[in-house]
Amino acid sequence: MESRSRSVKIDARAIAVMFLPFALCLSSFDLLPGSRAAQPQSAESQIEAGKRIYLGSCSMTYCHAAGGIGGGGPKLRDREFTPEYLTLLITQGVPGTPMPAFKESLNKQQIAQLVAYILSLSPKKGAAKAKSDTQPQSQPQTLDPHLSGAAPKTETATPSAPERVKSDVAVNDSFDIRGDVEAGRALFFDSAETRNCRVCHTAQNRGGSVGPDLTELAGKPPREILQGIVAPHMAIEERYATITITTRAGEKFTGVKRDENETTIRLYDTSTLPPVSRAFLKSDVAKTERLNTSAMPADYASKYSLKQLLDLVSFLKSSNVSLKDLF
Amino acid sequence: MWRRIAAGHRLRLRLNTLLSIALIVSALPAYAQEPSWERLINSDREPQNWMSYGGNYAAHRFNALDQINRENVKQLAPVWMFHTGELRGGLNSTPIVVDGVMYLMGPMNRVFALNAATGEKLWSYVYKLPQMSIPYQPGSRGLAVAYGRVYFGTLDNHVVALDAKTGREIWDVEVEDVRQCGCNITSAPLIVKDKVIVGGTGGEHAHRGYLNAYDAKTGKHVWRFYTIPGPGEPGYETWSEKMWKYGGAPTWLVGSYDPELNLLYWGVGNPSSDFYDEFRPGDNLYSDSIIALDPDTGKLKWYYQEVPHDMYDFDSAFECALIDYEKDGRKQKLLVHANKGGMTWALDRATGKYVNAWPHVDTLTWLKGVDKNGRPVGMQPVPPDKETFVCPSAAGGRNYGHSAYNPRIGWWYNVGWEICNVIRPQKLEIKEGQPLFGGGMEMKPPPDKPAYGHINAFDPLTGERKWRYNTTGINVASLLATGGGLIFSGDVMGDAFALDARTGQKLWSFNTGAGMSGSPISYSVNGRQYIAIPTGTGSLLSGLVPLLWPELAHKIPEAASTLVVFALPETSIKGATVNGK
Repeated sequence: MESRSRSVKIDARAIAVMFLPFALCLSSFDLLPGSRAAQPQSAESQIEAGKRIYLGSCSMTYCHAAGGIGGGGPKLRDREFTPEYLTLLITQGVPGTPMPAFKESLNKQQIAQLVAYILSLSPKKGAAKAKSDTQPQSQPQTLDPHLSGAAPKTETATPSAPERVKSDVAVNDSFDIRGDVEAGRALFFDSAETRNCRVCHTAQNRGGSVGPDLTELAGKPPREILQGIVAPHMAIEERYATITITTRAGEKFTGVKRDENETTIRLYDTSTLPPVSRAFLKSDVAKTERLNTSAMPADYASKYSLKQLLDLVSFLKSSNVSLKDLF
Repeated sequence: MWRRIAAGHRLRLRLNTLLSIALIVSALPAYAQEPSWERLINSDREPQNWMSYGGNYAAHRFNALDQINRENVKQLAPVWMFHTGELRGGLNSTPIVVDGVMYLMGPMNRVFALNAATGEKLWSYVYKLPQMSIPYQPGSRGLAVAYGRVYFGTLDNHVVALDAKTGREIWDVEVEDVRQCGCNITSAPLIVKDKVIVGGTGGEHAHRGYLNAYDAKTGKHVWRFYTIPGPGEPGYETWSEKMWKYGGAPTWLVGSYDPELNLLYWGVGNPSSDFYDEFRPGDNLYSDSIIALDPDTGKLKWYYQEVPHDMYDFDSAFECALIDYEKDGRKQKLLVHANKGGMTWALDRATGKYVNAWPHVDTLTWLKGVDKNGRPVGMQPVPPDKETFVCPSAAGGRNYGHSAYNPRIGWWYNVGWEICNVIRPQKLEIKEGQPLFGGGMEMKPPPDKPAYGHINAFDPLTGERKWRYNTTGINVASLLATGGGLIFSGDVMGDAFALDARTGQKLWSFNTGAGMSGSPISYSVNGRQYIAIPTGTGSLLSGLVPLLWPELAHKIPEAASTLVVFALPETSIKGATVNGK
């Protein structure tokens, strides 16, 4: 008879603390004008909604000031903007200046409202275009290939066959724990924790580049993602191999190679977290060795509760993963 | 024989020990170099140098040299200039000078070492910034030099150490991903013993402010002090559960240090969202506060909050001037601190107890006064969805342009801005790392009069005003006090100038051709005193000038990022000595 018990490769301590309070879960506020479901708007109401967004996001004197008269940033009134250009700038920001990309804080409808309002500040030059049909292009063109906002492609490790581990926890079908994407996000980026994931990894275009970009893990099975967290040594991508640099002075530094040029090699020293990038003159380096261990700490199974691990997996999958999904 | 063998063994041990020591020393050649902590903490003994951000660890911005003085300052002329090559961000920084070498932080993460007598470039280092929008501004206010290394923070929130002799990168550590926190570093670090202490921005973003300490040798993170207490910590109750992780309270300027008390003082900025306060009922500790920390551990020793539950964007992030005040035989160890809200507080810096508070601007509407503990009373409400007229403005009764203190005269010199604003609070969705102004403001002149600005000399305890000099528009640049009885600064229209420290009378000016928002310094090389003044208004604050003084709009100088260095003609100083050196 088939057993209803399943194996879980989790430290028993993780189970012991799984009912501890969860990490802070952000509630969604839905306060911003225009953040509700899109509905047809007249030009006037579009501009009025944009004006309110402008007040909260753009009207500081350090930025464009009230009425777009210009402050620390350029003036926006009496200008000749096209809606497409404004949409692009608001959406993607202007790298190298304080103008942020609003794509993460405003939706397309809100950006269209903001564009309508800004165009209305130039009645002779741009207002004619500030109509309710000034919807942004669904895929705005980019000013610069670096602005596309696409996550940099990273080679992912060839997954090794998941290792079946003897059961140390029995879970039956009536028992389940479900991870939470937002709790996982909070854990991944928790600034109060110097050993959080983001000090080394990027996810959703934020975080460090010491280890692999985890954005592309969304397509992987939950079990494989969990294995990468609790047993990182089982699949080490060559690009992120652990190396030791021994200097001619006899000092040893261990971590992940950052980059090198003709004269210098840089290493992310992972002996302490957050990692410290160290630059060595090649002439000062006596020896470089590759190790077969992962630079990632191996104790996350005991550091995090099972619920927290599921939260992290859920965040990386962008969907709430349950304990049962691991099998 | 055993004795001989033992002796030989001991000899080998000694040789091994010596070899080990030699290896360790050779491994740390740069770290062991100058300036040492002993020199840094006694920098007043070396007026030929300007070795830390505030001129000394008490933020006096005073240089004792007196070769340039009230009698001869009219002869002051430019002797060299240095262009950083990057106009975005102007030049907001404080140069550092150590033993004839000047270290200059330019905008967009550019670092230079220059011959301080000639301006000759010795090396340069450009920290490559990723493609990103820059929170706050592309300029920087400076760097720190110690132990043969140059330390600075970057616009993408890293702390970097360079070899001071070559500019070679030694270590680089990320504080937090700028895309995650909406925060970065635009000010100089402060070296305290073996640590590099670095503040950051973030008061206009959904971010939990902090101060970080790194090991100066290795870059290892040593401690972090959150300026918003977490659950279970005292002060957490002054925030809502919703906002404590996103309440701002940044540490965006540079602190001070008292070696006798072993206390590190740091000013903390405003809570976010700046104007909309529904989500943060309570005093919102330690926003708008002075915090005193043990620099070895990062533990809080005391705090003093100047503006509880700020609704006006009144940072308390500015410098903490440590002044030993003596009057009628009574000595007081004061911390004198100008707030953005136009008030100056004098505290007992050993205990954090309130001593006095007084206005340094003429028009204040946000409070009616302070109680016996210095807590504001009659604070003006800023209700949501209404317009509220508040003085001073969110740009401040002054901003980061630093004060100066002349210990010989005993007066404290500070800038004042008479600008008000209309605040319009607005609810905003809270997303970590995203802007969180919570409304907007519109600059206005004070009631019934045009906007104006001034520089004042004050008694630092009583606030008694000794003199006032009216500035052109607002003075964004810092002040410099010198042993020659002078106050140096520069205005937004391009005039570098010197005032008589005792009367406020303007004694000298020179049109540099570029507005100023940096911090002048003084130093000497081979017996010649120099005044170095950064030019190029990269600060967002310079945008206030055409709004409030439209008559100046067409005269505002073009963008620049140039250090202009002045000295007396060599013929006039031949045979003269630089006193105080």
